[in-house]
Amino acid sequence: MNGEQNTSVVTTLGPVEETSHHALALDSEGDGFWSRFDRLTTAVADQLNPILIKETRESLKSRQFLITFFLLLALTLLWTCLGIVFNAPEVYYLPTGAALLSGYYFLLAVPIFGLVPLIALRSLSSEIDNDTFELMSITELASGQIVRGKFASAVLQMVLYLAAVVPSLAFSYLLRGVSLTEIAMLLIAVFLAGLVLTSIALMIAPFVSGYLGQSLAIVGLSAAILFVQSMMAGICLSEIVGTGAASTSEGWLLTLITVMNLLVFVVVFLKAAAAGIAPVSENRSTSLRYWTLAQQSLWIVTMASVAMYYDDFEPINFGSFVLAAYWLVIGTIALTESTEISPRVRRELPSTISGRAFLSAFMPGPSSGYLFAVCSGSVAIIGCGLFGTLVKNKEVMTEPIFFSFVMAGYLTTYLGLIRLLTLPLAIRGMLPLLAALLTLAAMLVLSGVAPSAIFVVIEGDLPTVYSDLEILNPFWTIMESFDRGGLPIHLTVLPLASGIAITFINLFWMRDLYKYRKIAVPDRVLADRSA
Amino acid sequence: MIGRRRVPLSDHAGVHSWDGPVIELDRVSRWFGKTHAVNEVTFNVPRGGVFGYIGPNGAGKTTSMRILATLEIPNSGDARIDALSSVNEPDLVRRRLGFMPDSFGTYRNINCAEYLDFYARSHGLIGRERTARMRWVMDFTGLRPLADKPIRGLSKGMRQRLCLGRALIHDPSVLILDEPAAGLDPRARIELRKIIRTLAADGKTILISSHILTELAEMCDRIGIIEQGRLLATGTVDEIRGVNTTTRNIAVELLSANDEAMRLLRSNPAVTDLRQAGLDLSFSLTGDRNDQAELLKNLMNSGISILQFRSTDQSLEDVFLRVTEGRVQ
Repeated sequence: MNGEQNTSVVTTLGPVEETSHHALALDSEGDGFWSRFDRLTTAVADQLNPILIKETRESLKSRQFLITFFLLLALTLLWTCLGIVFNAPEVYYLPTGAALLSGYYFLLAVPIFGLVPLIALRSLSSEIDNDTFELMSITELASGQIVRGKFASAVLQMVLYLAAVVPSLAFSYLLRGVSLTEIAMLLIAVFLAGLVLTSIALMIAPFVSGYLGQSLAIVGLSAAILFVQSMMAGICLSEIVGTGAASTSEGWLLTLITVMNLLVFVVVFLKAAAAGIAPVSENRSTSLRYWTLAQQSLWIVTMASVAMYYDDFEPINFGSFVLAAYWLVIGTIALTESTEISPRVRRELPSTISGRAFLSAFMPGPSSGYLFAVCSGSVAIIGCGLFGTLVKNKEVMTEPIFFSFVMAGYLTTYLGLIRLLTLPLAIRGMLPLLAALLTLAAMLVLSGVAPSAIFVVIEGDLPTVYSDLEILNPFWTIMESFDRGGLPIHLTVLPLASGIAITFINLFWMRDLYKYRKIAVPDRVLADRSA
Repeated sequence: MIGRRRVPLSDHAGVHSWDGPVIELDRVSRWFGKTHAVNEVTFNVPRGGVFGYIGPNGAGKTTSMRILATLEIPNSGDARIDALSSVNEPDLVRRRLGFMPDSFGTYRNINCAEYLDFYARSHGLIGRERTARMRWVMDFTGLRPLADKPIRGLSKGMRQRLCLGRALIHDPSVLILDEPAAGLDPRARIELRKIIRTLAADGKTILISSHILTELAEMCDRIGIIEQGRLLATGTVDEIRGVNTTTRNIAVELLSANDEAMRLLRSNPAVTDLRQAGLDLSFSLTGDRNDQAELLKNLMNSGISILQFRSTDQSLEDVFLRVTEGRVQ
């Protein structure tokens, strides 16, 4: 860094032949229509993600895609023929579109959110296993671009599979019995399920390596796919097709809310996938934290809107419960972050007093992650409760503000305990993700079992009604909150009090939060950037 | 969602270079468990230099090359390319680095041109610049006739060429080549050597590892010998030979028979293994070049007529065998 810097520019090796056409094209220099078209498509393709182009080239030549595509085409045609034959002669004068659409739904659901997520998982994990990822990672592609490219190629496959079924969908509309809005809502639901499952597949791909890891991931993802398939079949065939839901503004409002919330989930999953493959010197946390905050905000707006639209404020309490669960998981994952911060990230650290006070929680590290989860979660949950209490005009089982105390209390208590338990490993940067998640699971199981066990020791029998002791048990407490007249108010402050106490204990081990100071960008890097 | 960061042509070509060492390893250590794959390795390569990296299998060559290529993080020390840390500025390092690993994976269903096209796009090359680079690389590596051939049908030699082409596609100023000649037949090896010489002549800074030491001796300005993660010797080939040779084999041809020569040599404690065959004498001399010159001067001053006085050069293989102990970790 102390040598003199000159302004020489790396020269192109040897004379470079300047040509106006693409190296892969046959005759792009011509003036004909196809030559111009070729140049235009080349220019358009230049703007696309290289991974998308590569994956598309690979996919279009792969046996798996060709077989799936033509099988889908053939089965759709077969289902159409069978539908006509079995519905004849009523097909000519009775609306039979809904019956055919049900079949098309299954034919479309299998590749779009059955096959494509599995292919996406295999695509990214095999890049890592087959040593192609390393060569790709030393190009100028950012980790986010790699993940987005993989995701885009999965979306393209979904679109191609849809293209095979579109004529049949149009045919089902012509047979009457289904409206265009129903078909549109059905396709949105199918696509959304495909997007969410594909983003989950990409998120877990960087963490599964080797035959055993990949096999386990495929089994786990297959189980998730089966669950979503059965759930979606129920939603699409019972709630959309033939119900008229697609003709109401309420139906579309719910669809919009669901789409927005799930799309933010997709973004968060993709960000997590990108963080999983990013070099360790990069900041893998801050952008993810901003997106989790955005996701939380959207969820709060959704729950508030639903509560006000239906004039029912139980959803506010449900929203608080979901937030507590969400931040408990996010916070536990954040505890596994490295305590070391690379010089590259240290350049981004806040330097002012207010910045260090308020923005440090967005910086990477287990302590900042813990603080971020506790602060974001507690503020959001209590904010929800306050909103519910102030705005509600009907009674709810448990007053939202008191319910929010319970939820914020559980979040801070359990996350704080998990942090204290894993601290010996975490401060050495040796806390694996699996260990943190197992600690969370063990903690939850214990919290569910322990109060009953204590009750058995004292009373000699299992509890049949909710007692004060069960405030330790979040599961029973939450069920009690939504049922049987709600929670006794005097109990609701106990979890919050314990949460505050445990958070204060945790604050003693926050040294790594302010261990690092902002450093300047090296002159050499500045010189390179300005070149 | 599918858009990409566009790299302007001028920006892509205009990586800022400096006039210090282009490749630097600064007390780099990397260990896997208890194994010290790289242990406090330090060396540098100036701009336009070709550095040969020699060592037995498992010596730490690949690990140190991977650290430079931003694929591994050292436990201590730093690796720099063009004075930019490969740990902290991987994105800037990657713009100026072409890395050819000893083994690499390829994609099943794409051909050579598509493979190079993908990497050209990945390095931000667009439009005519990408077209021109692809053509240049295919011509330079002789891949043009194989452009439409699937990669899985290529021979080992052609795959190595393709990998070199991939490493060159963005016109990097630094090349790191890990065993590029491994598994190649003699013809392919000679062709690869020519390619590397051309690249070196064009001003690329090259770090190359190989098991074929005679080839490295011909190609490299400097070499480094590594074993068990430690850099045992570094310098030019001649320096390595000199620095590491404490005993020199000397051959002397006398003009006429002379017992004085034998007496003088026997009396010199640095001389061992003295043998005489007619007018030819051979012996081992412990010492450096100066000691060798001093001995010749003494012989001449004693009136001995000497027709030839030369030290038998040690090959790089000899030095390598002498310096390394053949231990693996």
